[in-house]
Amino acid sequence: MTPPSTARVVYLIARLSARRFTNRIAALRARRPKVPPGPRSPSPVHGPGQRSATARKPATGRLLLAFLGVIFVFQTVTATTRLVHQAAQYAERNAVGERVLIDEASYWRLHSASPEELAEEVDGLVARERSQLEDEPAREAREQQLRRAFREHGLEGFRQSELPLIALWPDSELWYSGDDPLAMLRPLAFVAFLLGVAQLLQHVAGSDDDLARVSASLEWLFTFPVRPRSLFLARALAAVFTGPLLWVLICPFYAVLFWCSGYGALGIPLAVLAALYVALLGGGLRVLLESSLRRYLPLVWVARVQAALLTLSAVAMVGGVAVAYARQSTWAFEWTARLPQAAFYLPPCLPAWLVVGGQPALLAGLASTLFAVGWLGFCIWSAEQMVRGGISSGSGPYLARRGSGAELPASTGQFRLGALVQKELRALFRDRRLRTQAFVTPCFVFGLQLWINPRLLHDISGNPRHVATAAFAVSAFALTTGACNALATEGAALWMLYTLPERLERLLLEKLWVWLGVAYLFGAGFLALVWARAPQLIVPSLPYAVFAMVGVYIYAVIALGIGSLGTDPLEAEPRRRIRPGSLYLFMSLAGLFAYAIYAPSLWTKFVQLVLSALLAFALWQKLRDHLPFLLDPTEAPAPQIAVADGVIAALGFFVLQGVFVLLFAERDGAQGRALLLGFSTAGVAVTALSLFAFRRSGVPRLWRVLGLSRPAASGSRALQVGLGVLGGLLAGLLGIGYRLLAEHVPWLAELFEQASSLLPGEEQGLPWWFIGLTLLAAPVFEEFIFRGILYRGLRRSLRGPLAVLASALVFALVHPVVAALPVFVMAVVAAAAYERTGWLATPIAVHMTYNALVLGSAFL
Amino acid sequence: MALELAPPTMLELVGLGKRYGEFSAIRDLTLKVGEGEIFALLGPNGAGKTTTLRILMGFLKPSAGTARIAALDCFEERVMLKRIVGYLPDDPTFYDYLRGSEIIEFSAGMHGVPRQLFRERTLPLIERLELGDALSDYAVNYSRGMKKKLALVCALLHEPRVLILDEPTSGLDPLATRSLNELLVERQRAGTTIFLSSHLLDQVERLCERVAIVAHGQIAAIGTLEELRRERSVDGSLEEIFFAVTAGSRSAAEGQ
Repeated sequence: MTPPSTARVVYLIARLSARRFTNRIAALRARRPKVPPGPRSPSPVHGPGQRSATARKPATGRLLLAFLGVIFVFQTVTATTRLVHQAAQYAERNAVGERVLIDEASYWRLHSASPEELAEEVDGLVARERSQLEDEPAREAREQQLRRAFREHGLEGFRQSELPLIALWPDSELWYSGDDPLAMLRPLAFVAFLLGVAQLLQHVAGSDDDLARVSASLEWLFTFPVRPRSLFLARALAAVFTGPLLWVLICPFYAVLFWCSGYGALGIPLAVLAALYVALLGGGLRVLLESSLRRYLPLVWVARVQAALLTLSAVAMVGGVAVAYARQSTWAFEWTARLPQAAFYLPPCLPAWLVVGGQPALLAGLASTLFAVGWLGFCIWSAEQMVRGGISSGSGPYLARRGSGAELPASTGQFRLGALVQKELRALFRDRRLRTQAFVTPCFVFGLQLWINPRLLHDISGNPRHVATAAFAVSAFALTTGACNALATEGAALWMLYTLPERLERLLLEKLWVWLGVAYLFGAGFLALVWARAPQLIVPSLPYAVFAMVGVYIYAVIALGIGSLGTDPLEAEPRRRIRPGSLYLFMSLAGLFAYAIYAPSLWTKFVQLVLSALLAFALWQKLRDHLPFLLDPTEAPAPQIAVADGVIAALGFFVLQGVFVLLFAERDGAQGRALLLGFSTAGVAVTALSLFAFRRSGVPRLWRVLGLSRPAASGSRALQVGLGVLGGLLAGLLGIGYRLLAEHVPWLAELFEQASSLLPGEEQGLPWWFIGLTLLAAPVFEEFIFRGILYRGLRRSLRGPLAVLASALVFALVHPVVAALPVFVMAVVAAAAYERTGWLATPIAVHMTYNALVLGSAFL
Repeated sequence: MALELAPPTMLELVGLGKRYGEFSAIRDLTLKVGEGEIFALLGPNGAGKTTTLRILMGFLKPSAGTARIAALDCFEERVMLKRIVGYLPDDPTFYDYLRGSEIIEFSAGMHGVPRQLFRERTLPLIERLELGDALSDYAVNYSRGMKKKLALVCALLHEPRVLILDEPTSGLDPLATRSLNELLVERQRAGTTIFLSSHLLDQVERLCERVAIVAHGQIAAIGTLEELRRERSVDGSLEEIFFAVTAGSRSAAEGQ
């Protein structure tokens, strides 16, 4: 049998990669839903005929990634357009010399104005130009420029610009074709060079494989009777498909360039060719480096070289992107104008020469093709030479000398740090990937932001709240790269945590300390940076900063919850273990918290803090429910009422209330009636939806759990309702006493005044809608949501008194601040009474009695 | 006449079943293991041995039946159970940035082994398994046998009363196999109950008293070697009993 030809090998390997890709996609779609055991095999825990599992949600990661890809391409197109426009403006300015460029319309206005109107026209021009610029120094500079030109040269000081004023979409109008054809080429080729180098290095060093270790797939391929050059060729050609940067960054970049420079629609296939060219350069380079590095360098150094190349790639990317995105890139243009022409013959930016057109373009195209083929050939040939002695399968970057004798420490740990924290710290310092994720990525992202927008720091330093919010944002971002991945980073060694005598969620909480520390480090570092620049801000921003840092603690737990719930350790691909949607959910929630920093009153801040803590607790409870079933592909926790359900119901209630009240107010006109109708409709809707949702998920004994039916052996109904009325009387009396007391406290009295303005006036008497709202609708629906659902959820994880206090606190917080204290007392009584009787009628009675008393007394 | 009391039951499976959707991994598994016994679960690949072990360790919740160790439910009270149970997985994977000595330190710390006892417990084990030289190396570089030894040290250092081992000797060289077997017998004499799964029949024959043969998720035979020989009227090694049993169960399964 003859070994296959090179072309056949390339085809087979390509087909294999394609199959792997499609299988992965199919596996995402064909996730087995968790199926209940079925009525025939009654589980002793749940009883016969009861479902104990919920269906798995389908993976939306693929759609999200596609969406993100589209956004990325869009961003690249707009940024490149802006770059082209800026380059054209710069080139035009240089060609025109001392003259000042103004737009066509203004130019004709100036020239068609009579001598008396001229001064006015110039003023008008100045005003128009000023309004288009964003900050004061730029406006001043432009005004000076215009006025000086007019003063010194009169009308001759102005020239008409050929370019449009604003550039949104790629257009050949944006191109400036003056005397020097290279004027446009230089800056664009510079950016192309940076992006090309970034892509090259990214391809070489950026994959998950350690360069120091021969990847398992390559080793396996070497067992076939094919020549190494075929394998290397296939590997180099694979570069075209791997690496998303190529197709979302480099290809659109070149497409815009070619489109604007006059190729029009032809520019797109040309851009594809340019991207292929860069891909082949990268593929060849990787093949070459893989073999040569392993052969000539000690393995530890290979890992270091890989890390250095990756950093270099990131720097090049930053440079390229920054020049494109930054508002004022003139320094780049000036610098590239001074470079010798030969500098632009470098391989990574050869395709850019196509924009010049004509003969140079043709030559460049030819040169690129020849170079690509030659380079590929050279790399493959060299690699083949180097593996003639066999491929060395190094042990990777983790090398240590083999010691003699057991090097166990005298005791377990010198400090009081938990063993888990110690392990996590070791991971942080030794695992390159983790280190990059935790430290390098946030620094990179923020550094990029600051570079692109240098005024950002200045703007932040203007307002103490901005400082605190920015510090919170920095810490929250650090949390996404650390705390969200707490479960995912355990990787294949997760089984070790399962052999320990501690619940998994406790272990994860212990891990969290390390990531909380990292987040605080970033936040504190940022604060130090700002405070060093503007020491006068320290005192005013301190309270906000403290508030933000408390928020960071709460959001660390939320990050852990969201991240862990979105992690699937059974997923084969390590990279796909965490759902990208989880990270975005967390960042949205963190954004909501930032709003609290700007809230005017202390009360709103407190409310937001407590609600965030409630959310953290709800996630924690969900995590506790789900973690025991983490390694089970088909079982799910038994459906139960959870704090999360209470939070969603309460949130839904308030949102729907607002919506329905608006709806009814428009139709009816009468505000009071609309209020009652809206409230009631929202209440009915939320109740119905909750019951339906619980029913569907199969919560056992739903009516009993929600308190809608009485427990089996309880006393008389009258007694239970009577208990409620008694409690309501007590709370109501306290409420009245509070009101009387409040009249002696000035600020409280003021709040009361404001609140009573919302109530119907005394002259009208008590309208029926008001009675309906306060005595019927409010007690029933609010008790169902806050006692029936929320309290039940809390009670599952907390002891009685704590659950009572917590549910009462949340209830009080969603009422206006003036009524908070008496409402809190009432809620405590209601929850305690509910705990006692287990029937919703009791807390409803409490609430009704309380409302009747307090509001009745307001009218007597 | 000496009263032969059966040893107290340490491990008990009653009607244990696990289904993944339509597929039944194990069905109606019932067996008892007394304290201080070495019990083996045998079966061809895919018979459900690993699923049973994972249920015993509390990784999975049974779809039917119960699994108990020391009268504690394996799933509901898994955290309590980890104090007295040690586990050796089939193909142990460790954190790739930790050395062997650090992993042992981590395990000991997490199991709450007191500081004073740490060296006392771990050094003899390390010497026994001849792991000493490799401990300063990163665990990710270990050969398969060394990884198993490391996992065994981690499983034993909190002196568990029950050991659950998934294919303990697969991948070990003869020397390591012998030292492992000696270690297990020693532990058993000291009172530890050992429950292992294997498909290396000659090993099991030498080591275990009672075995259960699982095929297609159900127990095809259970008992001491003598009892199995009598039952199947097979005179010979465990291998022949095994083939007799699994052939029978296969034809039974095909007939259904």
